[in-house]
Amino acid sequence: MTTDDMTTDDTPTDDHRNDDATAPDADEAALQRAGALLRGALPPAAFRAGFADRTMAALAASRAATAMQAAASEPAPAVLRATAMQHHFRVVAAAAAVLIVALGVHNTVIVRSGDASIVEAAIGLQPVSVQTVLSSTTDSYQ
Amino acid sequence: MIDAEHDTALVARARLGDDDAFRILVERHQDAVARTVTGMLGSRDDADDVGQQTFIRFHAALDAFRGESSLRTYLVRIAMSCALNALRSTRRRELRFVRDDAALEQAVDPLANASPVDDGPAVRIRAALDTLTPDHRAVVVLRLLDERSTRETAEILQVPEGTVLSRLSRAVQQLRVSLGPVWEEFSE
Repeated sequence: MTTDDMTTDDTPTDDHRNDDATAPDADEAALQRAGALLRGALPPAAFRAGFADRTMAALAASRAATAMQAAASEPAPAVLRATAMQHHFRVVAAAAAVLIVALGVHNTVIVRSGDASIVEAAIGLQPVSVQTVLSSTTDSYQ
Repeated sequence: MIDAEHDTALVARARLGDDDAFRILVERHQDAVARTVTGMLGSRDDADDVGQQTFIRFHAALDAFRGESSLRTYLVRIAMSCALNALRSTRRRELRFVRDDAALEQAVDPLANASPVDDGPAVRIRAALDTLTPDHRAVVVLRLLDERSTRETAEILQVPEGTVLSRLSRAVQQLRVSLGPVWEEFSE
């Protein structure tokens, strides 16, 4: 290892050039003694029983969290509930859905209606396009 | 060599979503991870959490593991990174909440709470290790506790070998001072 190599090291917490300028290399015999002292005095390292079980459970939880995060990053569907609404309310709701889609706020619009005139014509809880909503709104209005 | 081949096959299966294969890897290498994590953190409550975090990070990086170093070395590198992060965040928390001078002194100097008369060598040694900076402690754990070569230690910590040796020299000097009679007893 050259001095040039050390100066290219990017570890931010240590000045290696200073280390090597002032500290002598550790004496191997002293290192052997130090190692024996530490290994002999400290208890054997091990995790508590059941570590693999806990790790697999943590892995499953991590995956679930990642999946939820991914789902949350997608635009949520706008749900307009028009159950038991009068006809003109349904038209207003459908118009609002068109506006939401047209503005690009949500990529999915779901419209529900008590008498199902819009639902059956348009979507039935499936993603709906602007054209579909416009079409179903026209049908409903007629 | 057989272990290495098995590891490679298990990693390949784990990449395809085989959790049983991944579990075998956890069981096979948990002791090596435990040596690193408990060496750095002691038997603290969060040692187990940091161990789990190590394997979760490894799982997330399965595709990045190319087998250029042994899986054990790769895992120890992740474990060391997780342990260093845990140490640094604990340190920040302690210093943020410590208010009175005595508590501050103990947070900065763990040996202030360890009596040379009442405590066994293990407690004294643990306390002495805790006085080392995280970077110096990492070298002691890998080179002396885990008996890795200077080259391996440098590879895991991603620093030059000269840096490993100089950090080790400083760390051993500090341990000698911290442990005093305990060190001398073992050195004879």
